[in-house]
Amino acid sequence: MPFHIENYLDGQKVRDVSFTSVQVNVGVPDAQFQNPNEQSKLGG
Amino acid sequence: MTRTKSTILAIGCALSVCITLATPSMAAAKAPIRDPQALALLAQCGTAMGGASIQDMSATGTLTTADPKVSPLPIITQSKGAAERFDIFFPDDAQTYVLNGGDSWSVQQGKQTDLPYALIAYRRPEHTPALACILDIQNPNMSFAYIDQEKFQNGLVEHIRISLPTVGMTTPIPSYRNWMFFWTLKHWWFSRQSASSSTPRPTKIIQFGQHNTATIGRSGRS
Repeated sequence: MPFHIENYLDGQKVRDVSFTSVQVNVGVPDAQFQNPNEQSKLGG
Repeated sequence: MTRTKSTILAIGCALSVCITLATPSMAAAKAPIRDPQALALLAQCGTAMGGASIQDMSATGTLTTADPKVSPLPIITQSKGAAERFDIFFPDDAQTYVLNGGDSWSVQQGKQTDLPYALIAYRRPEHTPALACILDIQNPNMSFAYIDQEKFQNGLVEHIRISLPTVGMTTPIPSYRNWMFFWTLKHWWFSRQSASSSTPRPTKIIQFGQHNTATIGRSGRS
């Protein structure tokens, strides 16, 4: 798993992300990605 | 600060915008290329990194922008399939960006906003190489072409081009279209080691475009 991502735009580094912890299969709930507005529509 | 935040979002979305703009939607699509050699290498890559067994991923780290005035920011990244979530913690605001196809949204200053599908239609989790190897294979409209072996840094790598076939484009491609076309190309290099070792261990994957280079650093176990 990569721990370091660099993004370049037209040759210039614009973003650098260094991960200190990466875990897989931790059971990320679908709710983390669900649109709050859509949830409220469904609920309401 | 607000300007910086906007810059970060703009940078994050820029590639997706260009990819989308470069994806014609009107004319009949050309048949996608499904190069067996490319597919075999991707399958090998996915297997080597346990891609098929990865259901989701959570990572914590630090985001540093090009703006020297902004201190490094804590970031949490989560992905599940092609869905991604980024939580970025500014000193005065916790921002969330969820990229999940047509159901993408963000929260800034406590305000939730839907993100246009055009911005994220072809975005993929680039920080999880195993997923990058296997996700688009499932899409029958994606092209996979084996390019060649190439030297990268100190190693030999395999160059595979993953792209959405152009539609109704005639040559010569207008310059602006040509510029964007390169943005649509995703070039993945896989370590030669992953293709030949009995215990394959990809060491690096690079996403590369002529006008944008996103380097994904070392992978996995050492």
